[in-house]
This record gives sequence, C-alpha cells and structure tokens, in this order.
Amino acid sequence: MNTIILSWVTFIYLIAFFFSILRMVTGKEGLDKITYFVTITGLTGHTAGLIIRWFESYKLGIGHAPLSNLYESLVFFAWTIVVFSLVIERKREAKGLDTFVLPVAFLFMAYASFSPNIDTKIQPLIPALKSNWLVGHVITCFLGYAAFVVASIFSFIYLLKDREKAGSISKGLPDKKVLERYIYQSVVVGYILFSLGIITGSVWAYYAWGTYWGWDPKETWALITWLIFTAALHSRLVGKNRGRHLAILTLIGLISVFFTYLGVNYLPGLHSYLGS
Amino acid sequence: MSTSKKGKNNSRTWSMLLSLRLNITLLIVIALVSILGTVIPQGDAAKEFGMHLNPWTFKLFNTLGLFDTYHSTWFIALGAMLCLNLIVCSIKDFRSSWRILKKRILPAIPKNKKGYSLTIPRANTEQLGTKIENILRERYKRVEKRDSGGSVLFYGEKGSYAKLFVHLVHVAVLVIVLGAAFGTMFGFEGYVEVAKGQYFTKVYTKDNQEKDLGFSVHCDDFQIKYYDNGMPKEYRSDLSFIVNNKVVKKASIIVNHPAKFMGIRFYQSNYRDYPEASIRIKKNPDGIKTVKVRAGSVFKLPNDETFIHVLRVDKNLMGMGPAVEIGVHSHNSWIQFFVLEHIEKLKERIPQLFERFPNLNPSSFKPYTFYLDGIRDKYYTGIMVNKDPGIPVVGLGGVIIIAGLLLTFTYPQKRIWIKIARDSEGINFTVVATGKTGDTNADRPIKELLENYKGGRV
Repeated sequence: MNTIILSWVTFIYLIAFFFSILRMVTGKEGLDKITYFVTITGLTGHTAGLIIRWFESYKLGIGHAPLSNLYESLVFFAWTIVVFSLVIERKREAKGLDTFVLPVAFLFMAYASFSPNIDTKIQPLIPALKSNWLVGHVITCFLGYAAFVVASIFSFIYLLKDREKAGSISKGLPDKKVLERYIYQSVVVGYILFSLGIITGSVWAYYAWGTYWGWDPKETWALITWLIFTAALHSRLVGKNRGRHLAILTLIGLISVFFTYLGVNYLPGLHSYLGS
Repeated sequence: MSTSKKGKNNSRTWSMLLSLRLNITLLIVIALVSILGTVIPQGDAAKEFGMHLNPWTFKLFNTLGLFDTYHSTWFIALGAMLCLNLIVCSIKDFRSSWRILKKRILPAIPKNKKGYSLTIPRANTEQLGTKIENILRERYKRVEKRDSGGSVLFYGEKGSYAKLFVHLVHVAVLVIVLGAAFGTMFGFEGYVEVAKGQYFTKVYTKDNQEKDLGFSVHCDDFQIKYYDNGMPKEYRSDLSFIVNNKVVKKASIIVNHPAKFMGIRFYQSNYRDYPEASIRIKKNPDGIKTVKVRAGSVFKLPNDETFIHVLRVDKNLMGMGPAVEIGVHSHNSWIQFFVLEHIEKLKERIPQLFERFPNLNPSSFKPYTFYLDGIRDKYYTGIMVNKDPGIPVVGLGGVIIIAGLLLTFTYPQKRIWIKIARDSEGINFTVVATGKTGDTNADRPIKELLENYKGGRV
C-alpha cells in the first residue's frame, strides 16, 4: 500500500517539475500557484506514505520507523529535501528554487521505487539497528544532507550567474549577494544538523560496537564531508572572491555527501545498506 | 609612529590570514588523504589484499602506512598540525576579541568590506548625527561616538560575546582530540570468543596482546533468535562476573546494550560457529581417551611426547560424511591423515581402501587408532571488551561543540560603522555593516535617512 502511494508521489513531483519549467519559460505568475499546489499535493502523499509505512510495519509485528534500509532512506531523503526547500521558499522568497529541487526529489523517488536493485519490502530490524539512536541519528543526518543539497542548488545557480552576463535561466532568481547569503545560511543549518548526526552516530556506535569512532568507511566519509564544509565556512573569512569559493566548496561537499550516503555501499564496512 | 603601528597591524592581519589559509589547506588535505583509507583495505582486511599486490607496491604501501592510514605517523602529524594551527588562531583571535570586549576598544573598519558611501554637499552634521545615533541606540546594545578632529565615527555593536562563542567550537574540537588521545593511552580495546559454559580472564587486543582483566567472566548461555523470514533478531550472551570464586554480578548483553563491570564494558559483537569434533583414541592393547576438539586445537597424548594438531573439522568431506584431519607430531616426525566417522561403512564399500588411500587409515600412527564420534555445531559468542577513560572528555567535547555551533550561528555579532568626514564636494558618509544584514541591522534605515536628506525630504 505505502509503496504504491509513494510511487505515485514520484510522478506528482514530475508534474510539479513540468509546471515549474513552464513557469520559468513563460514567466506567467499564475503557474507559480499551480506548481506550489501540485508540490504540496505530492508532499502530502509523501508524508502519508511514510506514516502508512510506519503503521504497516507495526501490523507486521516488526514495528519500526521507516528509516532502516536503502529504500526507506531514499524516500526520507527526498522528503527532507522537499520540506526544506519549501520552508526556504516561503521564508526567504527564493522563488525558482523548486525548479531545481523537484527533479532531484523526483530522481530519488524514482530510483527508490523503480530500481530493480532496491527492495521495497518492509524488513524487520537486524540487531545492530535496534537502538533508540536510530531515529535521532538518521533524521539529523538526512536533514543535514537536505540542507547541503539546497545549499548546493543555490551554489549552482550562483556559479551560473557568475558565468553568464545577462542570465536567461537565472532570470527572476535572486542576485548573487542574496544567493551567497542563502548558500551560507543553508550550509550553516546543514553543518549544525550534520554535526549532530555525527555525534549521535558516535554515541550509538559506542553502545553498539564499543567504540565511538572506528574509521569505518562511512564514518571516514562523514568526517571528510564535515571537513569540507568546515573549510567552506572558513573560506568566507579569507580572500576576495568569497561567494565563489563558498559555492565551489559547497558543490565539492555535495559530491562528498553523496559518497557518504551511497558510495560507501560499494566499500567494505559496517554501514553498508547492501549485504545484510 | 602612526605608520609603524599601521604596518605592525598589517603584518598581524596578514599572518592571521596566513594561518587561516593554512587552516583551510589542512582541512582539505586531511579530507583528501582520508579517502585513501576508505579505498585501501585497512587492518585485518589489508592482509588478504596485500597478498594480491606486487611486492614493490606492497612495500610502498606498507612503508607509507597505508594499511593503517589513520594511525600512520604522517596522518597523525597532519592532525597535530591542524590542532596547532587551531590553537594559534584561537589564541590570537581570542585575545583581540577579549581586548575589544574588556577595554572597549573601537574595532577598526574592516578593510575587505566595501560598504556604502554618499556625499552630501551641505548638511547639518549635528542634526544628522543625533538621528543616526538614535537609530543605532534602537538596534544596538553598544553605541559609541568618537570625535577625532575633522571626522566623526559612530559605532554600533550587538552580540558582543558572539565572537567568543566560536571559540567554544574550537576548544571543543581540541577537547575531543585530547579525550581520544587520553582514551588510547590509558584504555584498551579487546576481543574474546567464548562458548556457553566456558569462562575467560583475559582478552586480546588488536595487536594480539593479552590483557588480563583481574576477574573472570563466565558465559552462562549464548542464544540467537531469528525472525520468521530467517533474518537474525537477537544475539544474547548471559554473563557472570566472578571475583575470588564468587559471582559478583550477572548480566545479559545484546547488541546495543552492553554491560559494565569494574569500569570495563562488555559488548555483544558477533558470534562464530566452530564445529566441535569428538575424537576417541584407542591405544593397543589398552587405554581409551576421548577429547573434544575444534579446528586449530592441539593436544598431547597421555604418557607420550606426542602432539596432535587438529587441522580441519569438516562436516562432510567430499561426500564421505564427517571427517577430521589431524597431524601427529612425534619426535621430529610428522604424520598427517584423516579420521572419518563412517570409516567402517566405507571400508566395506571400497575394497583395499587403505592400500589405495593410506591417508584415510585411522591407525596410521601406531599403536594408536583414532575414531570420530561425530561433529556438532558449537557457537562461540564474540565479545568486545573495552575500557576507555577518555569517554567523559570526548562526550563533554561533543556537547560543547553543539552548544558552541548553536550559539555562534543563532547569535551572530552585528557591527556597524558610520564615518562622517568632510571632503572636497561636501560631507561624506561611509556606512559599513557586518554580521546579519536585513531589517535587524541598521544599514538600511541609515541609507534611507541619508538619501532622503540629500533629496531634501527631511
């Protein structure tokens, strides 16, 4: 049931994306409301899907928060990105952000729902995941990731604006100074959440494996990501081209985020979603 | 004198920038080299990987410590450099922040900020100054006015302590590093495998050193529970802690729920199945001895300088059923042969079995005959046994880091400088603001005020 809802959500995001493209091309204000409405519909379904999945796991007698395998993490990641960008769009008047966020959410959902390599079934928790720290660790990490993704989208737009003289794509988007501030703020939010994620992860590792830091590939990549964003935050204090440096480091950080999240599945380690 | 002071100031900012640049470089370098250890197998896994490398590459990797990247000298040196840089930067920055805070020194207008500049041909500086001061007083905690000959400088500041919060984060990083170092020096990380009914008094560290616990731990039970679909649900070891032959404490450990005894923590880590073989040894013409062994066991025959090495315990050796391969070491001779459980049946089926396959003869070592009375699974629970006195320190660091980050970013420091000076075209106003911009900062209303004044609307 939940997987059917969630696969429908995938297409709703795609439709919302088309409307946002249409708005960008035609510049019609009315399309703004339609895009927003479709996105909200998608998000409602998305939220419902997650909650239903949670209930269904209890019905199976193996109740746990839907954050325990690759499928569930992808769905949750997409959810956090959409929520995060909607909040920013409303609060900061960063119009046009959805044109970049929706395809990302769509791709995540599509990969989760339709990839033959991903098991969509609700599985019971293996002993290592049976911990009170699971929910806190996963939520803080993914909210952090989502903030980094949004920061990267701003960085991408920033670098686009940096290149072209009279922007066509970036028309109507905030100017560079404002973008720089948005990048910085998103990175800060992501940084705090991700730091919390690393710390909750360390506490959990301490209870599960007896050591708060074991240089497991996932841990190491989390540290790499953290170091890159630390560098990004400090880069603002040095040099003239501060916005550009921040944007570039944020994008490098994003690559590291994806490696931390997905890449390490192909390296040996305790965190792998594959295998077990 | 004023120029030399300025020069000194310049070199100081320059060196701070230099060390901040160094900081960013170090962060990126450490991030990059950390990748190596995630791609090259580390520790135990490195042994197997190393065998597939050509000798030259192996030697290179080994010399560079790439099989244990994160404990190699150069990696630790990089980390130490980062810490040193952090200390130097922090002390420098802390001192200047503290001076500004305590001695109420007016900080200089930041040079890398362009700010806003407007020249008004004729202006009532008295009147405008009062208005500016009022705007500042509404929005800033600390407002100051400095008259220096021809020019007037207004300064507004809010969140004076914000600059200090970031030091909390930096101090916390150092606290974590210290706690980790303390833990490595005075703690240990051990591992032990024990079966139900057995006990242990020592554990083995990663570099295969024995560590005596000073008490003994008895494994009362080890159980594995499964879900209906066959996935593991729970691993549980029931332990008794024994001091001077008395059970002092009983505890069950499952994954994520360790037990603690005398400052040492016991974690359910994994389990292993070592099939256990029951071997009966008959010495002609008299004497029978029965032993229970697993692969790797070595035991001595009674009244004899003979050692039996159990090389392999196989539940089904090439379709012939349960078998044990043993090596007999006696007075510099070595005989190796199999002991099969169903040897009698096999002998009936295949004539002249021992002539054709002498290594299946259980009487290969005279005057003994070996019999296998069956093989059964025997589960060993794998327990991590750790002591880390650095934990409270590292934990404290974690708490401070989060508190510091939250304080730093939720209470940013806001500063504004407004300089009023006479120039060739009239009176020049320069406005520079740092920190959070937007309606909480006063640069916007002051700009509006000045522009309205110039336009004659005030």
